[in-house]
Amino acid sequence: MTYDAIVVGSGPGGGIAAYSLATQGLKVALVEAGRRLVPGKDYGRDLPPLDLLARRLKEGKSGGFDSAWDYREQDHFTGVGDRPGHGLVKALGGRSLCWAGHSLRFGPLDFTKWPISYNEVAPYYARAERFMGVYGYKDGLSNLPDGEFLAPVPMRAGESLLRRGVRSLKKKGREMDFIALRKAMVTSKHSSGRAICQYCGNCGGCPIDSKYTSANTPIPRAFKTGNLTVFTNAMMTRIAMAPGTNRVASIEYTNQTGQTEKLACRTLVLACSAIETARMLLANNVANSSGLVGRNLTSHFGITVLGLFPELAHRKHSDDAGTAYYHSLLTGLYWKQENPNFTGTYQVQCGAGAPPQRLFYRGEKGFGAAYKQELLRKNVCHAGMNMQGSLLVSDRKYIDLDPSRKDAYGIPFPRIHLHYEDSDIAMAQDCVNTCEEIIRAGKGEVISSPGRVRREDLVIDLNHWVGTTKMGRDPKRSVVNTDCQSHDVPNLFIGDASVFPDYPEKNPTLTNIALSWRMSERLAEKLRKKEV
Amino acid sequence: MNRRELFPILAAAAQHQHHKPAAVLTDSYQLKALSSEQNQILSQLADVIIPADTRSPGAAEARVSQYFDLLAEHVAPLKKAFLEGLEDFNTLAQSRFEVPLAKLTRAQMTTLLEVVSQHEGNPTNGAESFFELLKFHTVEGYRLSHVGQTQWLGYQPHPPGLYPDLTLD
Repeated sequence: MTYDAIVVGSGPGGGIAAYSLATQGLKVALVEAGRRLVPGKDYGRDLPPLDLLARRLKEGKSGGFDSAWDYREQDHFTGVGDRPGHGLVKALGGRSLCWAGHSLRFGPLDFTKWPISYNEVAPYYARAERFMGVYGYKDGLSNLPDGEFLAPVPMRAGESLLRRGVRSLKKKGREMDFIALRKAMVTSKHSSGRAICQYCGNCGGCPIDSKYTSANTPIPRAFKTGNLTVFTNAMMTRIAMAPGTNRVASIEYTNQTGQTEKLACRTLVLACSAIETARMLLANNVANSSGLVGRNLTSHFGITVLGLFPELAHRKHSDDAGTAYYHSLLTGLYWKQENPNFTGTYQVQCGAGAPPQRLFYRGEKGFGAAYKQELLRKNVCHAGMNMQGSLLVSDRKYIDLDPSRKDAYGIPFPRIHLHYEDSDIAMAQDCVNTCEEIIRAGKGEVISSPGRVRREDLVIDLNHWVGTTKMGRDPKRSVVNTDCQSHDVPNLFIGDASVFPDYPEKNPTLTNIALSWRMSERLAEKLRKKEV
Repeated sequence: MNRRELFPILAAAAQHQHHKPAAVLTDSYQLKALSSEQNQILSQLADVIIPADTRSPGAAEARVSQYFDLLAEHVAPLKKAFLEGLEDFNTLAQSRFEVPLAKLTRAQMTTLLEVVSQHEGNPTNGAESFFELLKFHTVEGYRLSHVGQTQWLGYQPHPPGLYPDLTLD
């Protein structure tokens, strides 16, 4: 049969595309390279920590933390330059299984650098928030719009002391805000029927499916339409064009037994991640008349500062469980006026205390009774600030194909080129200085800080890559149009975050889902009108 | 059985779930990678690093040495590092106290750890490197143990948020 749409990749963008297309009556094939994982069994097992560690060691896994990250691909790209990384999970749901759930809308100012406006995307944000179940407070910020939220989760005590520091600096005229985070976890009754969060903190492998994933919400709902066929353990190996045309006719994939199968389609949606989608387009030499596939690459990058608030020490227990470590966010920096020393801006994700997963402060010297007491005090009383800055787009950051290495399917590995620029380092320095100021203004002391930032202190976000199939109106300067449709191949659409033409400091997934939903509706409409 | 009668059972089950000690670290635990002497030495060293105090028992009572055995069983490079490290410590014990490591008193062990922790952060020899490995895993084993979780860290299940006795502004 010929599918109306084949969606390749079942992560946040692919999952919502499959749901939207199937509920619009299209016959959809969802092609996923990995298998289905079961929460509470394949990850997120509810066992005493050392029992879990014993099992994990027997299974050849490291550490005591039972997360969906265990299924991350190893040795699947070639890094060039400043230590690039790439998180890739081949499983039904992709990286939505292990994302942190942070769901922040991009703001009106952010969209001024896009060819579409905030108002065009806003209805899809609202729909995505309702569908996913996103908790949060309404904060009334200008460039981080409020959404449609479930019951909020408060920030922790230590984070509230950071907020005290922010309030103090704001009184002196500094431009910044401090809010509790907004995340896609169910905190009150939700239409999906997912369980209410129990604050175990293991959001990287939510054991009870409280966190939104493609595998627990859109894909099961799409199934109910009868229009969706899911192919798991199916690695797409080729995009085949109809002879003599600029249209995709079919794809080939390798199945579990190593055989090559073919699926014919009227439209193709690639949602494989900013790295893998670019890789597939480059490997198949498709949709790249602009020469921009793999270019415009950016991500977020970070650096960490820890503070100590002695007044928290009197608590009888640390008890800082919650929705993983980060419960709050420093935001609103350089929205109105850019810092002259760097391009773009950053936000800072903040956590505090001693949540069950790990001790965040390990730097205490010595041993014995005093050491034991001080190690506990510093962890219980600490607040952590982790920068998430927009990486400057430059000619030295891009994806291409590694001419010397191929994967098991004969496809060249992607090569990720990352070189931090002076602007990136200046941004990190500003962040470190600001975090230190906030901690001191909150009546705390800085216990861990890079101080003067060096290139080697910067840490790339493995999962936030975007930009490699840039959206735009001009086919010479972009890869897809404002409907996320290829300029070159009219029945090819992109459903992942690689279409982002510009990257603010905010987390990408909510925008990825909203855009993919919008793309899916445009695709279905074009099919109905026989425009593709 | 009616709904009301079920409550104590459910409550007990919940209690059990939250306070069940790890099954791997018990009296009946059989050492798999370390000898009983090595286990005993590691237990004593770990207990000097994290001793008992009024808040919680020390690393020995938390059975941290069994955590070391668990690691050594499954992670060959760690087993090698533990055995070589104990050998380095033994050499130091012989030269300093003229007794093997296994025969050191607690006070002598404390002195030995003071010697090997002098350059913490920038170790200059095998014994100093082993101290850092030993300390890291002692803390890790302790915080993951039943004692570490419930008494030292004091975890109690309740939703996150502020503490009523905390003045913020």
